[in-house]
Amino acid sequence: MKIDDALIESVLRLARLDLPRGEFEKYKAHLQQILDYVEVLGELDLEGVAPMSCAASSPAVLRADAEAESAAREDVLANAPARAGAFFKVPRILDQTEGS
Amino acid sequence: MSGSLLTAVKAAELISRGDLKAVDYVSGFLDEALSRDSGIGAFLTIDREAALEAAAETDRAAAQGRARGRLCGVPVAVKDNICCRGLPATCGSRILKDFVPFYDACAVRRIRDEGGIVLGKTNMDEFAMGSSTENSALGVTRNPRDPSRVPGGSSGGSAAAVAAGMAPLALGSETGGSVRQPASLCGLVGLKPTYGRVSRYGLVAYASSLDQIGTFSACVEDNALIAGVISGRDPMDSTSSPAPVPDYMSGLEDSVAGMRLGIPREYVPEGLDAEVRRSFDRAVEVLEGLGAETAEVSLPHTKYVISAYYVIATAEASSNLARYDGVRYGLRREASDVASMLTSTRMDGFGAEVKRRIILGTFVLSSGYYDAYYTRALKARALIRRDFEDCFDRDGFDALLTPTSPVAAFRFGEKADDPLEMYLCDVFTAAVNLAGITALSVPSFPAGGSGGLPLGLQVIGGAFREPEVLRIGRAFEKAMGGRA
Amino acid sequence: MSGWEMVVGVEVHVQLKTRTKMFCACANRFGAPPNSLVCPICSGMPGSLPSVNMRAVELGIAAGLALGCAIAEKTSFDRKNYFYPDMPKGYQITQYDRPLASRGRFRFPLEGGFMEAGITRAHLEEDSGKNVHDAAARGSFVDLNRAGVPLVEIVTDPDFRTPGQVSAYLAALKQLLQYIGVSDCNMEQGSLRCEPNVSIRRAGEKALGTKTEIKNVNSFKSVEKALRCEFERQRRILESGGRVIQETLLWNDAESATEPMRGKEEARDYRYFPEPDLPPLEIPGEWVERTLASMPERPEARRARLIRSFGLKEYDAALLTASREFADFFESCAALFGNVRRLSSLFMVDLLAVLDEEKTSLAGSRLNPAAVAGLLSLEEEGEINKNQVKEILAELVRAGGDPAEIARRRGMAQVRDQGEIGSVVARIVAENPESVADYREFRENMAVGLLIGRIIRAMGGGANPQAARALLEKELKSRT
Ligand SMILES: [Mg+2]
Ligand SMILES: [Zn+2]
Repeated sequence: MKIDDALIESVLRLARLDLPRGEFEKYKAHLQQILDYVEVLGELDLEGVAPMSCAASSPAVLRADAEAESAAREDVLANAPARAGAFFKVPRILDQTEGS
Repeated sequence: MSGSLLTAVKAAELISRGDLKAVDYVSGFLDEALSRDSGIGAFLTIDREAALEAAAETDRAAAQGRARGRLCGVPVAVKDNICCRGLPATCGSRILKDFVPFYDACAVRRIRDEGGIVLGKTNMDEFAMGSSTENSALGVTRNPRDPSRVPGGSSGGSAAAVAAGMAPLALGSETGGSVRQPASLCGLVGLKPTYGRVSRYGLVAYASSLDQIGTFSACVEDNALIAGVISGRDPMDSTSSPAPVPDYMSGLEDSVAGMRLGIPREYVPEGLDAEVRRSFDRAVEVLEGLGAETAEVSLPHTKYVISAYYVIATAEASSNLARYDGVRYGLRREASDVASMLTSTRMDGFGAEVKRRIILGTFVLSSGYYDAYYTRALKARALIRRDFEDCFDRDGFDALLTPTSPVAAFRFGEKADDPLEMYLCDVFTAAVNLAGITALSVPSFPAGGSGGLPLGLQVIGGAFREPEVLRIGRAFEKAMGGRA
Repeated sequence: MSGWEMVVGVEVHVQLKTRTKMFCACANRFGAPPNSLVCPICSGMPGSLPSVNMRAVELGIAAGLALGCAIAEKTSFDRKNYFYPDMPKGYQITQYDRPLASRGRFRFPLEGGFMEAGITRAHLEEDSGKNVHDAAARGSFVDLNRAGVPLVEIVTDPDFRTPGQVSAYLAALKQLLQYIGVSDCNMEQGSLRCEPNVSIRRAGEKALGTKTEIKNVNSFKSVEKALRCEFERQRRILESGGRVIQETLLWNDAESATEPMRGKEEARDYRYFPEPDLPPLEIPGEWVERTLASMPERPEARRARLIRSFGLKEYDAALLTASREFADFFESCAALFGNVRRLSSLFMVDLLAVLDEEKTSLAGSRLNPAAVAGLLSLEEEGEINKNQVKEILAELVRAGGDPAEIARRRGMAQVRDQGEIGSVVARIVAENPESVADYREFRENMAVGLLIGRIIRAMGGGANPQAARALLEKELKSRT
């Protein structure tokens, strides 16, 4: 699979990333090299093989619906880069399509 | 160095009886760290005062005959992606440079509960992505055996701390070999426990289905001790196993005579480094000399390991690292709107390798490519696991033997410009993470004879076969003239 | 509608009535101070991991069963990846490939008859936090109390053809989920949120048109309005030869219009993948059966039972069972006060009116069944009249208390001691021998009327005429 600039750009948008100026080509080359390498998976016959997405050996044990004390609010907010009173503060939200 | 002449097992025993002062034992390591670490760079944070205070408290308790715990008074270095309340957890990244968690990882809590003392936090490849610790945004870590070389990675700081005698024990984390490979490169014992054996709660996620906290020590017995302490079901980690934890110490000295050990031919390929091969062949002979039966076996899907590993690990990483958005913690680059703030925060906060993996992981999950890459990799993973099950369950092997790393410690910059070459450092270790099983790296014959660079022998066991793997490691260590 | 037909499917998010959040032990509670119900897990702190709330799964199963769905034997969680400041992990844990419940059918009342809608799926997920926009600060404030609150998302097939069908569905769904204790379904507090998707086509056509999704509809009334507006908008586009684009629209209630969201919609790719932190969940059939067996009575069954056991009319029963709260309260009162006819009229006329006037609900009122029974007993004994019943009821709703005591305090002094009335009666009779004579000579009506008037006057207008009459007649009879 040959990757092109548009593909990398759309992936960067999804990942909310940007690349340092002048390094686009280097990243592209590295990605191409890795994608070429993983092409080898294409030769496997995977008919009837169930994908292994979780490595846990037993099914989930569920949690009882019992309340525990939440964290102290100051602990929760202590690492915030910006806050307003008891809130985390962020700049304006322009893009509404991201919300759930 | 006084402390490091003693095993941690012995030290804990002496301290709890009051025959050794925890303050002296801990100071020994702290002094070593303070005098030597400027030249090594193992630690990012040394928690000197708290460690000494905890040691003093231990001594007070011992004087009253109420000192307890399997790790009584024993200091432990902790990789910086494992949360310790009140200490920074940078994960080697600029984006978490000032982040201080207010909670302990489950493994850390268990260490404290057994009387262990957190000594400090150790350097690592950013978010555990790397095999040399060169990807840390916070500084270089040198291999104590040869400071011109890397300690391996990603848990390079923890390995260097133990190898330099600055800590008797250390926690690392494994995603594709990040404990075993640096253990091998630094001449240490490193254990990767079975997936689900140790709670991941408080381990900052890189690839959740592969991550597992692992342990470093100078000898197998100490590794069995700390691995036993941190293992067991934790309700905070749904993937942790409810299976009871056997006593790792009890069968440690048992003989390996009659054990069946497989040697996967794919792990000693044509073109394997001659020193690595020689070391490995001799290691196999040693175990045969102890009465173990060996036989060649095959893990036919080995060829797909690195590909499957990088697709799965990066896919999960792209999602796990989405939380670094400059809103609740970590770095923030101010901007006039949220989207720009996010993008510039992440662009400045993440290093090159992390970005590369986020891009790759985002790509393999994106619509149109998901099945071709991600689903394929998950299916390949199932086949890779089946290879191991065939060896252990169908063919009845007790363990498999392989070299831990295809190379000894390499020089700084040697592989830094070629990500793929760096990825291939994991070629003998990553399959174990994909299969979710356990493996131990134990020091083997050094490259180029005695005094040469360390190399490791890898002992791979089936799920929850830590006791067997440790026992084989211990027998080998003893035969090699290690601590009797 | 001018040869065009609307085709609507509905996605409803409902907050589950659990004590704790979906994946952590923080309280699931509305209205707490900002960021006070938050822990490392629901704030997405590095190293934290989710663990599934068993009660949330149970309520999800109950919702699925009540909607006629099949419950999955094995269900699993997935990550939905997107960035938003109120989404702490950068992904939402939801269910994509293997939802908890699927392929259901839900029958609900519509215009005197019934309609049935297909339920595509019902799955569990976590809520996001809340952004409070602040224009002055040129930014937003993030509160994570709601982050991680358990939700069930219920998706219907595109089975609706009119706005009325959609609101009838929503009303019935809300009633059902409240009844079986799955959710409070409080739209004002956001515990029920609905997102209809709409396409239109020429009547008789089989193929579906391009659909749009409408967000931000916050009441049943606005759902209907939004659907009508969107129908008109799409019709105008198609009739002028244009094409409807698949997009998400925001309902602007003030402007009564749908408007496109700001931002790049085509950049949306959620990259769903299996949540590696949570092993798949096995749901034993026995668990499903237990949930079914312990499920509270559903609205239809309750209606039927009230008709059967109290002889209520269909219409009355429907009104009394409109909410589980109302029906529960009614039945508690009925256990204390036997005249169910009178009780039901009190509920349907006076109580509804009073609650409405006081702008409150049963839960928000101070009323209790004993007070209602006491109130109606006073009326039955003739101590107070109908208007006074309503007056006292209003106070009971507002402030609670004992109905007899309220009546006394308010000077509805019909409530008097038999003894007190008795002595007045005796005195008046003694003072009015001519009336007693009249009574003896069989001019009783006139005599009684006159005496009662005097008795009531003597008691300051506070005597109960019926009680007075009874006592008077007894007194008079004893003198004949
Ligand atoms: Mg949803
Ligand atoms: Zn929480």
